[in-house]
Amino acid sequence: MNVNEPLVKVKFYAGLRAKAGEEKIECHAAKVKDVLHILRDKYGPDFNKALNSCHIYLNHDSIAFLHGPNTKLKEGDVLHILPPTGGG
Amino acid sequence: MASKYKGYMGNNLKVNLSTGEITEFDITDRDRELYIGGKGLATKMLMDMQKAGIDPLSPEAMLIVNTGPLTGSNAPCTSRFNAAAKSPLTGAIGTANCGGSFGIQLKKCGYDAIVITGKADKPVYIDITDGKAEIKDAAHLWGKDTEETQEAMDAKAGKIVIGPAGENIVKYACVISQERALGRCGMGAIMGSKNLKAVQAKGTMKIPVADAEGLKKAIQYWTKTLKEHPLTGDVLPKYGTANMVNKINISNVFPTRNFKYGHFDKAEDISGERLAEKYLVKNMGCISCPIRCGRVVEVGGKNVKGPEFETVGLFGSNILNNDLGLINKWNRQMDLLGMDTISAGNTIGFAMELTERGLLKSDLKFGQFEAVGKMLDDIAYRRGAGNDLAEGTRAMAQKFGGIEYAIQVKGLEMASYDPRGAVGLGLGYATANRGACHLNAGYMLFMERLAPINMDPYSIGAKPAMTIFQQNIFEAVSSSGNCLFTTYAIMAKPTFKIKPFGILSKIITKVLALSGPVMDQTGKLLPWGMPIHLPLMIPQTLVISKLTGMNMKLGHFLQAGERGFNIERMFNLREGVDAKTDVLPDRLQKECQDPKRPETRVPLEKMLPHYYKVRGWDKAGVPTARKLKKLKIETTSV
Repeated sequence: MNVNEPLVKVKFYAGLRAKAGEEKIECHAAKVKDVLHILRDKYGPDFNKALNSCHIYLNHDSIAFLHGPNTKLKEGDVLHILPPTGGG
Repeated sequence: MASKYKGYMGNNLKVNLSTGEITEFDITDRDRELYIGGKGLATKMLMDMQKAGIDPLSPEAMLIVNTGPLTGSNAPCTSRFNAAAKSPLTGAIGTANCGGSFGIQLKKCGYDAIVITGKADKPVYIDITDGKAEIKDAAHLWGKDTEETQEAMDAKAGKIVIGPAGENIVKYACVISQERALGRCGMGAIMGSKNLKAVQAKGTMKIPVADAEGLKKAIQYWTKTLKEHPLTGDVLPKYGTANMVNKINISNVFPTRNFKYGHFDKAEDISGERLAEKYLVKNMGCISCPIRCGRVVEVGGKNVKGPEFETVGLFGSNILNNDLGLINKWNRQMDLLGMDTISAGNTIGFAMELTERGLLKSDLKFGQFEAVGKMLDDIAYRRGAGNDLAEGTRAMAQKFGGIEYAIQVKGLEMASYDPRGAVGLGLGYATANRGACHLNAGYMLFMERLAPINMDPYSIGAKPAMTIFQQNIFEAVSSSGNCLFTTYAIMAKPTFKIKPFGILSKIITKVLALSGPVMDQTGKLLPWGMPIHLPLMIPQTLVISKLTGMNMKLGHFLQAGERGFNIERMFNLREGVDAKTDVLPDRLQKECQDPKRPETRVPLEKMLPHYYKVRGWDKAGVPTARKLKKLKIETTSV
């Protein structure tokens, strides 16, 4: 982790919280893919498998409609990791 | 006349509460083939049997409660039954759908549908048993809440009942069955206007099956796919429908402060995760449902039904409330009073804004909740300002002003999703026949925000065609007697292995956005261009075929949905509910949710003309003669 890179908050939801054992963390990262590397290293393969089916939102926008894992981060950004949801 | 098709009981009841006359009547097998059952067939019956332009609260108005072939078939999620009438809240087609035992018991009594007309001169209930029905005195039930009423009736019967809200003709009074509701469009007000407190059914007949072995196999496969699906097998059982709170909130779709905003800072406090941690006693499900999305929570020392997502939003973020305990309590209160929580929540949010602007005198204020519980009682008993709130947001706006932020379409209050964060849903809301209902709208939110592969929520690309596809398939599934949650299988389990933020997802998203011209043509394939079953994604067709013996391939099924949607449109046009009502409140269509982002409003004017064209409607939103002929829509409209 490079402390010169922006400090961002990462929040987990639903079943991912149990897999992580916590609801949120903070880390330094320049891009979304850097955060994903940090999470994979920190929480292991079970978490990583679940992560692959999650939507990732940067603040209020899905990274799928930004630059995907290459989306750049800035200080104070919040990254939301959301497992599949449905209802209605 | 019995039906040649199995799965149906082949007989129907008509009860005239004015004369006491009880008769049986036929539905043709041709209508079963064309409309399947449920809401589509019920609207056809209303077109044929009810005069145009009647007052929905007059004695001559009809209330139809009916089933689909799947109702009671033991296939997954098939306890569903339907109610349909001209809505007293909207003046448009009113339909509502419910799980529970009433529909199954109605069929076991030998009836697919009951049509209720007239008005009793004193409170009554209808008691249906094998092959017969009686009108009975309900003096001992009148005045009771929905739970007391059900407890005072036959414990083994399936029941539909109204509470004080229905008795006092609150325009969005619902009908309760066990702990479930025929929630929307004021079906409870119609029962109240007829002095009809309840209907109970208890029968012993068996529902006939065409191919028992084939049906059993198809049901086993369907059940397995639902149990293994990430949404129906995991998320919904664990967290209930409120699982969506955080996702919807982060997506700027969670209505906040009477839909002024789409994000609530304290949403976490009212999320499905918090509900599961702090309040969940156990989950529950309807008969034959492997999903079990229902919540049981404790209120006042008693285990009761917990709130659904829509109730959480409209009694949470929309009035700036982050106390989930209060939402549980109000949800219980409204169930006992017999009141639609979506319309009630919206009406209270609207009243708070009117009060804040000095247009209405009331004690309702955003972020303060002492007055809410009392107001719910006042609405049900039509006391003070509650008498105005009992009329719904559109009527209130006509009296007090504020139509631009009265959050309704065609008079029906909007479900708990701000379409400025999912513009396809906005198109669906504007065109849904019963008004601002997320389900009749086609629930485009799923494709725009929830599915593993999303369409761009702010783009209009392919949205008209996709909305039409979704509206049609929802219509067909509902008409079958099946829960709409089974449609999550359309996005089959393997699609959840695609990384939502990966390259493949990006490519599929782009293809979807460009698919409009192709999607626009798919309707032309129906019915003969899709002579297949797709049991992994749309299992209903195979199960209906095995159950009934009907040739119900995918093309026929989708066209039955299209037909149902179009006959509802024809009903609305007959009642004067035309294209002028295909609009959203100014707040959603003209105000950007984020003033710095012009894409955060619903560009309805860009989508609607194309929608009409793909539907085969003219520029005035009227189905063309050619379209009606293709759909074989004929009525003996009176």
